[in-house]
Amino acid sequence: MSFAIRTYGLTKKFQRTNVLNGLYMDIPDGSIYGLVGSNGAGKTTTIKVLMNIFGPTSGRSEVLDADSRKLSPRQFSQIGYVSENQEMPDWMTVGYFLHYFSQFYPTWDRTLADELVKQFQLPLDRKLRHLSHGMRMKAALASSLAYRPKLMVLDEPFTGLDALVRDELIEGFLPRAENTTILISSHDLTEIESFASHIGYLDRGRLQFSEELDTLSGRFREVFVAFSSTPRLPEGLPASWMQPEVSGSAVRFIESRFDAERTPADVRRVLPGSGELAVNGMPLRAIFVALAKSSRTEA
Amino acid sequence: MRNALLIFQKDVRHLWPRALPLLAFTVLLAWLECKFVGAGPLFGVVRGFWLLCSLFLISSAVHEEHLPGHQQYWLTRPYARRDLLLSKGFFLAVFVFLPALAIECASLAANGLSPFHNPPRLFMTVLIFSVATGIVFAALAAVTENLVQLLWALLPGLGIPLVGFLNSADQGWGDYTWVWIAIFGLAVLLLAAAALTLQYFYRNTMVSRCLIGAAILVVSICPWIGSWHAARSLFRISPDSALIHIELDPAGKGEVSDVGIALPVLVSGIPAESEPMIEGIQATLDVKGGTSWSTGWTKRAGLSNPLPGDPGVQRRTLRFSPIKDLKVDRAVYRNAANQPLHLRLDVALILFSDHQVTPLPQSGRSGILTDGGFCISNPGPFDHLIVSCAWPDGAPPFSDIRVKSLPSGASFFSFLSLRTGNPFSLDGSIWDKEAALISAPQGKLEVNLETWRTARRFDRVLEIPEIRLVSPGGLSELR
Repeated sequence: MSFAIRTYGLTKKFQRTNVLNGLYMDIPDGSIYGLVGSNGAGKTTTIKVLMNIFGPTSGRSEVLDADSRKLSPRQFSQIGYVSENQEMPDWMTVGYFLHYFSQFYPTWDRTLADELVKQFQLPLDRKLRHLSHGMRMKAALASSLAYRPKLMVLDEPFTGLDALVRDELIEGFLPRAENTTILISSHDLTEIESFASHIGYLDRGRLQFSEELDTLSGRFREVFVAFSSTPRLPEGLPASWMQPEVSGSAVRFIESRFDAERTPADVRRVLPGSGELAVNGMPLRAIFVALAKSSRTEA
Repeated sequence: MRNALLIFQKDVRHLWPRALPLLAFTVLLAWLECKFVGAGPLFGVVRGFWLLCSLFLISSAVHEEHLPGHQQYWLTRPYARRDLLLSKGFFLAVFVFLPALAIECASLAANGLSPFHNPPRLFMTVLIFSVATGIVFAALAAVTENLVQLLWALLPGLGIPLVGFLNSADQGWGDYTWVWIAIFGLAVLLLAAAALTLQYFYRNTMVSRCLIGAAILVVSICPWIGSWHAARSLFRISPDSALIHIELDPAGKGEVSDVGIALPVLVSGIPAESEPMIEGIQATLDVKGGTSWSTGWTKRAGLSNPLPGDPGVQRRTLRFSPIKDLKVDRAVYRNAANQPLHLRLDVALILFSDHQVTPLPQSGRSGILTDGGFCISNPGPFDHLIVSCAWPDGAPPFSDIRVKSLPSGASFFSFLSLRTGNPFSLDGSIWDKEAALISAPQGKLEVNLETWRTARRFDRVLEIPEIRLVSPGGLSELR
């Protein structure tokens, strides 16, 4: 398997604060990798280190097979980067903005750029400073897709956008990024779930897990165990049971390593006298909340 | 290179309105240079505004892709840092360097000289007053995100050196000020260029700011570094003749007052066709077995010092009272009175030769002089004449104006210039300008510009093993 991005023990300190703590992350070629985590988990810092906006304190990373500290115009002509809080040349009109950047990219596809302008309904004669946040994000996205980059890096692209604009953005870029690896950090887990192929969960500068979305969805289950009377939770519950709680005459927990045969057997072993077992699938958002709560409890 | 041009074109497209004030001041400067060779107080004011406009424009160009920060759009675009720096260099060249060069070339052409009359001096003048200042401005802009930050940075950036200058007003280097400007200007330029390069290639704002801080520190402390005599030593050439002697003048008479000492000194052995002048003097008094006191170097302006060509000075022998005007510390003087003292006089001398006399019109402009300069004579107030001269290659080492009234035969003399070989002028104009106000009675006048070309600088020491200052209380003789 080849990887568009690999990090090796990436660490980033700001003065005395460790923002990244030995991050190891592999993003396969062609994947749509959703990087999730709570505020301050280190998502934006990770992306900025990968884009050589920040230098790492230690460790290293490779982007498109190049050391991220030495990313050159050659690599950047194959990378599209869109960030929610990115400064733009506000004095430019949308038309000049696209024209200006078209001259820097040998692979700039004018037809594709025109299509994007049409699809995003971008007003070519309006200055960027006079656009709404959503339109600015669309302009940034158009300017980053028109040269068919090998890698798209999107840092919280949906923040502050209404649902309609979010849909327009996703509909605009996904069909045009078929051969592109996409790294996207977002809080909008519902949206990410709809198109991500891989998920990485970052917590306090460490990647807690990184796997395909299907595998992740498959191993997280909300489990309800019925009892005839109010049960007591014993000591020594399995480590994969998250947030166990007694609710009336039932025990509820989230199994982070669900197995259709092993999990019921574990329940019967650990919770003697248990009755009926109900297992529900979990959306990504619920998994993320469970992980975040669990992390805070541990902290 | 192509991308650098693209960025440059983008900058021009955005910033051309901000270039208009600079271009307006460029036109005004050009007019002042062509018409008045940059003479007069207006030139300095316009030059100041021109520098402010260039600071504004250069910082705007650099801030288009500001370097500190982590949200700039260009950081993740295929911009080579070299191209980015090059594009700003193009901007500096087109909007600052080339106009400055055009001003000086136009000024030379307007005054009857080839624009390339003296390329090294032209280059130095433009380099110092546009490229060097432009690089310093660009370095300041490169460590800030916007104009507001830059202006905040300028407060200490200008304030600290200003305090330094004010506190060191008495340490002036006189005719050697340009040496000070060249040495410390070069240090500042190198630090600024290092900060600029470091910032563009490595975006290390902290280290770059430290370098800028070091440059500010250099400017702040440099007025205390070095001295007039140290700068002069760079130009000291011993005269061929070892015959020049300094001794106590046997015909002179010493005088002591409560504020100074007049000591008759004779410098003899001055070669024919040469004119001597004292540039500076230092007297050191040693009380035997006790303390030592020195006047420090006192420059020409503080001495009762005959000028070369002064009709009142006897040729071949220079008599002067070296420490008449040196203020002797009152406490030292009282302690030293009636005691045997050792006196050492260090005399910095300058010898001129290649004397030339050039007639000037009584009124109006002269033709081009042999050294490329020209003079303009105008009537001044109260029977005076104002003679203004400008030289494109720097003023002669020494020059004066002499006026002779043809009806009465009376002669008048006025000092015009003393130079140490400045390769550039200090006001940003290629022209080195001087003016003299000289008595000029009514009637036909003969006006001459007298110049001495070759200057040799050397020191002589006069040791007086034992003298005795006899005072206070009415003692006024020197033994």
